[in-house]
Amino acid sequence: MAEGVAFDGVAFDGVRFGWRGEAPLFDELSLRVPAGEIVAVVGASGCGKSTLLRLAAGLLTPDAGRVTAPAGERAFVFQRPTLLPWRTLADNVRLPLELAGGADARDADDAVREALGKVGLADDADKLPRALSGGMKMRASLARALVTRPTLMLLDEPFGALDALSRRALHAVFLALWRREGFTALLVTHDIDEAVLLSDRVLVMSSRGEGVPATLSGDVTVTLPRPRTRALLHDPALGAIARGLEEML
Amino acid sequence: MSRLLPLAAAALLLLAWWGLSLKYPPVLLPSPLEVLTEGWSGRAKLLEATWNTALSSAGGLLIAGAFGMSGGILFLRSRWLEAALYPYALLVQTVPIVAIAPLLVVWLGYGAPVAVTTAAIVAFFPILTAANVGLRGVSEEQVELLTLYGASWWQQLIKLRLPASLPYLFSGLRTAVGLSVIGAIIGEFVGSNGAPPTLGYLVLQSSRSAQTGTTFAAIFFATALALAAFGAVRLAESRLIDPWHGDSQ
Amino acid sequence: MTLLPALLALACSGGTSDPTPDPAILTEEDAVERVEVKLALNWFPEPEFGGFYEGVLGGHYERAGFDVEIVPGGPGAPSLELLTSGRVQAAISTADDILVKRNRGVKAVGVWPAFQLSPRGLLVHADAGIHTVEDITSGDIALEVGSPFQRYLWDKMGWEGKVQAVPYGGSVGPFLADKSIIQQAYITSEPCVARGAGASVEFLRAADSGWNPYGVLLALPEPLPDWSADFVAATATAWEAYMKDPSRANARISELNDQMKPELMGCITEAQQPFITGSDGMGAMSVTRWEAMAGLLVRLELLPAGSTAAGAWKELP
Repeated sequence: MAEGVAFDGVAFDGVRFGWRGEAPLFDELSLRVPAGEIVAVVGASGCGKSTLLRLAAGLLTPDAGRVTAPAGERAFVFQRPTLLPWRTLADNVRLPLELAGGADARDADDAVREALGKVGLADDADKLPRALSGGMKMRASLARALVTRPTLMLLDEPFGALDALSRRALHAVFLALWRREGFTALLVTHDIDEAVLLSDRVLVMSSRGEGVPATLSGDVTVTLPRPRTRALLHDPALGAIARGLEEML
Repeated sequence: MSRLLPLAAAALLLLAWWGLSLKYPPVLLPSPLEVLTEGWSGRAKLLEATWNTALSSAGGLLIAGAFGMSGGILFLRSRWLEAALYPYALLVQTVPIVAIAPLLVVWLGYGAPVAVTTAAIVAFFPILTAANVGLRGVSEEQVELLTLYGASWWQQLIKLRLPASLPYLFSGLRTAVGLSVIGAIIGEFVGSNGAPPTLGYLVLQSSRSAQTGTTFAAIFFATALALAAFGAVRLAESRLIDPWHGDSQ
Repeated sequence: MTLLPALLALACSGGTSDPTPDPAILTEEDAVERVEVKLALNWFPEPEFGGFYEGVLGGHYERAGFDVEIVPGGPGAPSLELLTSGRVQAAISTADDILVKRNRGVKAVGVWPAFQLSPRGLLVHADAGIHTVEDITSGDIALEVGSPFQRYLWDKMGWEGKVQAVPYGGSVGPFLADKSIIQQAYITSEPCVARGAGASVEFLRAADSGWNPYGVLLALPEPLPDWSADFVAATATAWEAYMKDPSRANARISELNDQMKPELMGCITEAQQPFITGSDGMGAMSVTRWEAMAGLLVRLELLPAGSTAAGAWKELP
């Protein structure tokens, strides 16, 4: 890291967190996600990956230690699209702007239209979530995440519920968005291939048993070149990295 | 074919009624023909009475809705208020109206206010229950979404919980609407002075001079009123709720 | 087993002043075969039904071969309906009620009236400034809405649109709380109850307004069962005993009805006596009065034109 440049990514310093009345999920957890990078977090289910994401988002506060995040807006993409079913797509995307308040109505409309355009849903602005496929709903969720021009994107297994085809399409959408917007991203996934395909680094979390805090057992830089293409999925280089990660779990 | 089934059932019921009316004196069970004749010749007064009873039950329903919804929001805001007041809400449900109706007459005088009050009393609890369940019928992720974007408790209520509660509310309304008609009529049994005419008063008056044809006609008008109100709720539901409800998010 | 009641009756009969042995208990068969009669009242238990309670408590019905159970009623009690559907074997009604209901399919016959003068009337507070029915020109009257009496009064007084009939719940509570209230009353009940609660009241007799059906009228099923004459005879005897000494029956009524406090009984007994005997004597019935009532009901359109009281009543034995 260059001296004199303020760190503008995500940092965990000695973080401890446990749900009330339960043993801590992590203890003395430290990690760094440099600004503008995509970092994936993989690990067995239940070891606290989602919780880690929520700490990064500021939805939870650590019991000890500190979490720092980039200045600017944060966005969260949930496992399920979490669109409000009574709102049209456009109104759903508008929600973050409404909550922030102070946004001029016309500016909001422009931002919404732009966000929908970026994910290819411009023509579906007036549809209700009910009328959309899983892939389209996920894209809408991404559009909503983008509408505030976030500097930090947190994604919790966003593509897990989609079929293979939709997933691949959304990988492309996500990478394209990242290239355009330049946000820092922390992506939790259980799909190791996906983690390698999308990210610059992969963090591996593993738990050593019931009641024992999870730890970062691995921090692997993904040396594959960008832009990442679908063909890389068949590339033995990807496979090698993936297998290496699997060993660490 | 399935459209004909309710009609066939109605025809069978009519036949059964006619058969029974041959067995019992008219003072107990008038024949369908007599009810039709009495109902037709007295239709002006019956219609006027139905209108007045309808107004009372609508008024009661509105009050019940306001209190029920407010109660639900209040209980959401404060757990200990819920613990303190819920038993009294339950008490409202269980108090027999015929017992308190005379007291209501003392407080409110003869006329519509008594019927509005009794209608409100019976319709209150289903709406409160629906509000209670509905306001909490949101997913954790939806709440997190709004929290992330800095929504205040009120914004969360207005933008998330209230719209989410509408399907439950309509479900409660479907029950409450029929109850409000019954509640109004019971109130009229004790608190109506016949000017303006009400269904409760007509039932009382006609049965006391053994004019059971009119009594039953009044009962039919009451049933028709309840059905019409139910239909109105269903219509509103089909416009406001059905288009977007049922999407699994 | 059947010897026991016979022996008991023999032992108990030593207490009566009647010197002749009671024929009802001389044979075993007689001791067992009693006609069961459920008697439905058309109001709460009150001294207006005193003779019937005396009939049970004083053994008058028992000696005549009847096993009588009195079924109390209240506002809107369907006593005649219960009679015609066989649920009870005797019912208390009024002359107007029986005429209207017979036209609606009820099969009943009026056989013995306890009250010559209708005990009905209106109760007003003494300082309300109302001394006759004509003084009432506006406001609400609490009574049985839609009843023949109510319709008669409104028709006669032209009260439609000026005075409202409001439902009467059967208790003087609201009346005591509000001096402006006018309500229906029976001479055998509400006036004394109100006075007992400290109110100063006036009773406006229905008979004075031209409404005078026979009251507390005993009705039996049609066609009349073969025990009718015996039942009427026992009833008359019971009422005579009640008129001589109402204390036993009234005590029982006090037990059954909280409003009928023992201290009110003196007031009630004194008040109801003239209504029971009237001018023709207790239990009398005449064609004139019956037809007059029928004519009134025809005019009120509660009976079809041309209806008469024929068949609605029968003097027994």
